[in-house]
Amino acid sequence: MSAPARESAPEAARGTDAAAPLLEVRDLRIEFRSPAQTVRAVRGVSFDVAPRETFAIVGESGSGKTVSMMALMRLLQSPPAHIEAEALRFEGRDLLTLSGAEWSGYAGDRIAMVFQDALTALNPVYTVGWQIGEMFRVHRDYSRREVRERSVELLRQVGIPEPERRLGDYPHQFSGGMRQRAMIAMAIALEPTLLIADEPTTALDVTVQAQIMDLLQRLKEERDMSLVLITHDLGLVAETADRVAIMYAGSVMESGTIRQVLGNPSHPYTLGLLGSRPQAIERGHKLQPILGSPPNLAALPGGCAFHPRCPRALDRCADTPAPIVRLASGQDVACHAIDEARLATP
Amino acid sequence: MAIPPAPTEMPRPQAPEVQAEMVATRTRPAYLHFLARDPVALLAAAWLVLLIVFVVFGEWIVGDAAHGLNLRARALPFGSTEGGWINVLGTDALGRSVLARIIVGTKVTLGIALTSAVLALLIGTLIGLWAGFVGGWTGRVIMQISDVLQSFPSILLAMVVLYVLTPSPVNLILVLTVGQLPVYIRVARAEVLELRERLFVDAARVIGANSRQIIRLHIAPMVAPTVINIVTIDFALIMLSESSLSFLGIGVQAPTITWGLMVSQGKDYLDTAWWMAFFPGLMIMLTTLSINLMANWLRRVRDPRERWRYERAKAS
Amino acid sequence: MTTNPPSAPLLEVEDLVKHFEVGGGLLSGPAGVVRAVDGVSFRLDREQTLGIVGESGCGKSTLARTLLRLETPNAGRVRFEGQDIFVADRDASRALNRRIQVVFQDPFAALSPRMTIFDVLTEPLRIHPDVLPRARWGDRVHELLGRVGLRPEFATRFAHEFSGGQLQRIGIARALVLEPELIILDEPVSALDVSIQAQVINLLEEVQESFGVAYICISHDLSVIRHIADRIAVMYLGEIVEFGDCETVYEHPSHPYTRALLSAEPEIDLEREHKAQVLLKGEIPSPLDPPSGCRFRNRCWKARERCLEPPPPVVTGPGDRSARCHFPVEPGEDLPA
Repeated sequence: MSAPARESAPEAARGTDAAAPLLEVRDLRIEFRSPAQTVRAVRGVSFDVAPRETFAIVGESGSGKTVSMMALMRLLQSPPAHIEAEALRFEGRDLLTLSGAEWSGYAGDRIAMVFQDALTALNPVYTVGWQIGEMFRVHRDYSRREVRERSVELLRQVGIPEPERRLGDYPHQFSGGMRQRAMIAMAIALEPTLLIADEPTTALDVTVQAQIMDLLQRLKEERDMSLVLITHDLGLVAETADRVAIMYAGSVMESGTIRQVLGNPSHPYTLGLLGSRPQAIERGHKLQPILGSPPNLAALPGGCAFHPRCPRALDRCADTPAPIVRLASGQDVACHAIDEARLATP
Repeated sequence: MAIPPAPTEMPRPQAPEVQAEMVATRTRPAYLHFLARDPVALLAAAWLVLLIVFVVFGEWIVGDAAHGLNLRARALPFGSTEGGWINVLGTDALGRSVLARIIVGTKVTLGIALTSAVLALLIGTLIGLWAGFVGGWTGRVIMQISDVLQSFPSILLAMVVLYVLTPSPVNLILVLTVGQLPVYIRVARAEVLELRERLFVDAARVIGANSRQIIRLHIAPMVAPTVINIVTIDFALIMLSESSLSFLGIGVQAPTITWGLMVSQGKDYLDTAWWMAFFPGLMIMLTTLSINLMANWLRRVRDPRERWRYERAKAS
Repeated sequence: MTTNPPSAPLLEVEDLVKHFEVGGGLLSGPAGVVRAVDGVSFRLDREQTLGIVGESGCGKSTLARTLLRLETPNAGRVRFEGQDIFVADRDASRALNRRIQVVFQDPFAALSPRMTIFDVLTEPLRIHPDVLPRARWGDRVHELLGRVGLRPEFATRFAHEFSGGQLQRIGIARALVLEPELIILDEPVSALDVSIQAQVINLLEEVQESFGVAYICISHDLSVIRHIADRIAVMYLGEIVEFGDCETVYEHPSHPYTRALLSAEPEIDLEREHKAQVLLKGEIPSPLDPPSGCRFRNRCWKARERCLEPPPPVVTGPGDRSARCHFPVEPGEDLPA
């Protein structure tokens, strides 16, 4: 199967902020190559994140949402990963050309990441206080006392009670929600302008989830940060995000503001996601699932990756990749089957 | 770029089978084909087949050259053709062909080592499975006995036992087997301790399976690859143990031939007639290597998750 | 064997208690006791679905395992069709194995990776050889695979070749082999992708209709429970704090915890600017050391002195509607800001 034609760099839906975007991703492509097969995890993804906004990336397993951000943070081992992009710019600076030493100045300092499972992301043999202090020791030149004071203050800000005492505790001595708060404290220690949160609440109880999301929103506003939220939960996105990109099998299917994408969903996959939620159906009626199985990233179907499961699939969806079109309502959709009347006038 | 027209074509209906398509496709495994794909394993398999030929036909083909004394042909060097091609690997102190003795010795060598290894594997694993699954005091007592057994130097144990009993092949097998039991007991038990906490064990209990059924249907097949891997290394150790015991005079007794016995018979001549000990030693090495390679190949081919290595090569 | 009139419940749970002892050494005894299930009672009728919701530490998984007899309770009784399941003789016990089955949360862990699907589905028939003669096993396997939406040729494949959603279907098929009357679903869709969850939920409902089986569905996902459950039990720290008809509980929760739980669930509603969300104080207390009296009192905005006494279940509506609260939430009551 020949590689599909690369889509020309699309116009991502711009944020409402007129200033230059904080993060620009253009045509990001990531493959995992092994002797047995090549897995195309990310296939030409582009989006912008504006300053002080919450940008959500929504997708299921295999969508490429986590892999994209891990590539950004240089967390993928390469080989077997092969990362290419037309551009990957943060605050105007090209991240691809940074050397390892230069990148260390960004990681943790300007861009930070929070992971899904704090228990595996935190080092179990060091105290939480030591791990937060590490951020300061590596990137700043504070005295020991100042490091301690700042660490206590951070724990207080993220809502951990008795912060002085908890500094000396190990990660396993915290409950799930507290651990997540500790991880967030570590991430914001150096006051980054961009915080990437990969499924930060998926492993938590619903009541704790609400607390953590509330905390993230508050921190974002207090510190003038942007938040990239990776999740599969559309409800969470509706309540907390400004803009969203919906990913499937390594491509962006639909992107725009919350009001555009969730208020006027246009891509069949987006419609499928929204429609398959139990909340969307009245009791007693059958749910409306998306038919079929998740894609095999080592053997993707030709054309649009979603077409085997798409209720609106046309013949051309099987051999031609879907073009990205701008709708009148404002969002971008990668689909062949959009009604002409809904398109934006050029 | 042209704006796509409104969809006038009928969208294709989704067949119910699309509900659950296979993620990967596969056909039944073709073992011989997989073997052909791995040249190293193929060589190992060929070697083992050769050994089987030796076991079955050895005595019949070269029996005379192996047993018959020929003092005139004493200690002929490696490469000599005196007395025929049979002496190409040299002769020993009594003029017997080293090559012939190696061929004939295959039977007893493999027989003892294989029997001991397999017996230790089966008995030790069963004990370990039971100790691990049932746990509690039974498990602890079994482990203590096993530990005591393991703390004895096995050669010492063998010496004591064989001194008391007569050194016959059966007793030799007995001693070698018992000496190896602790390893299997320990490994099997460790695996079971982890496996019995798994969800599929709970599922089997809910179906109503008793402990014996769970061990047989679920646990044993998962423990099998690990202990099979061990037995291949163990096999070499047993062959060497038998060699040591024969060397000490309490193993196999002449005129029975084993490679180990040949090594110890030849050790006195290492600087003058090195071939007498070298070639039997080489046989031990090549055989254990082959068994190891074959076991590795077999494990990979049978493990559904590793089989893709061979299937990929097959598809290309 | 007692004869049961059709109106008798299928399952009756009375004051079920299950503790775990933790810590301590060989000689010094346990350091603490986790009261995982602490006095749970409910009834379940035939072909009914009971949803059990709660967050971590509430005891719902332990409850499931106890009902499946994977754990032995410390106190209380469970009666299935009148028969006490913990004092059953060998024959009755085997009969219970056939009639109460389970679908576990993690489909990859619940199936033995080295078995073929045929082996997986025939294992129950192997264990209970009197149910079906061996000659008919192949037909039964094919029929079940078809019922759960899988092709019959999948029977020769190994478990690891399937995706999560397919494996869960196989898990459901396995639960159906012996034609049980009650299936316990322990987080049946939590480990699956969102787009697959709906498929499996539909399948579960179809199965219920055609096989006439009752469900106890345990989940932390409120929207799933709302869709499939007839009755719902909300658990907190080992107790059922609210019980009743599912829709009524969702519309008008009586217990403050239920109210908070429902409001924490994210919703897509673009019109509403700010949701009336109840943010609870603190976190779930450790099950080793629950608060005295009402276990929810240290997080509850309505807590008063009276809550130092354990609240009894209070009837808050018709039928078996109840909540364990001294001050149940009234419909239309103001919530904390």
